[in-house]
Amino acid sequence: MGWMITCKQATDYISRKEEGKLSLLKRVQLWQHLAICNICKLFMKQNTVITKHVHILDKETNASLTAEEKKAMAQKIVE
Amino acid sequence: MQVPNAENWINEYGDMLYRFALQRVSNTDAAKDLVQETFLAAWRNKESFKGEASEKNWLFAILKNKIIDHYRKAVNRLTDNISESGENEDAFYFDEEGHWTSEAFPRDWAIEPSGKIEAKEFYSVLEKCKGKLKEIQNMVFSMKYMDEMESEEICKTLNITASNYWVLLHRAKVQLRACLEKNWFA
Repeated sequence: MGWMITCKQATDYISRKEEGKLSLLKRVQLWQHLAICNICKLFMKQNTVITKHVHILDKETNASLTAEEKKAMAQKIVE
Repeated sequence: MQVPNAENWINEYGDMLYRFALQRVSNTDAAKDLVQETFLAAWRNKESFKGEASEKNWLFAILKNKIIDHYRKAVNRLTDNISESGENEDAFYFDEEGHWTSEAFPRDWAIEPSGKIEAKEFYSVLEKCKGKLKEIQNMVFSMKYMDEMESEEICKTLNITASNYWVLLHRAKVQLRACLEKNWFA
């Protein structure tokens, strides 16, 4: 059926909808798809979990430069 | 601004800048180079720093520009057609009719979606999974969700079409989701 969208399309529409970039027709198609597809509904929820945590990733990681690397950087700067 | 001592400067801001860069380029050597270049550029222009912004914001502004340059160079290096070059990956997740494949459909993570995950290890898994994305996928994903840029701005910055942008973002999300499920939520 031409009216129904696929899971591949639905998961793409979810991203476009976040930015308000989805036409009314496509919003209705997405809504209809999500009403019958629990897997894409899960995807949508997990998408929110991911984007929310990616947003704070900077604060939550602890990668660092070694003392030697910092010293080498300082040397290059003043050269 | 007082003339800073280079070493103190790096000790104070180096790790902060490095983490920021590493999240966005997912390559330790490239991230270190970007931090080095940032300090070099800042040092050369330290007389022109008027103290209107904080020193920290000034350094971050320089780094952000360096990252954008890095992104642009990476896009220019791409020789493959963006939407075609990921078709094999797509086929792992979606069948010919556009349905989730039996290997790759999302499973229930059994978490409260509104809660914040506290476990430190989760963030290192997230970081690793994000780092496994193709460079260009990671770029658009980072610009969108870490730097909160709008799609038009991202397309303009990277000189890619809107349709390529949506394909890249979609692939980034599908793969990141699968990687997290496999390495954290399973």
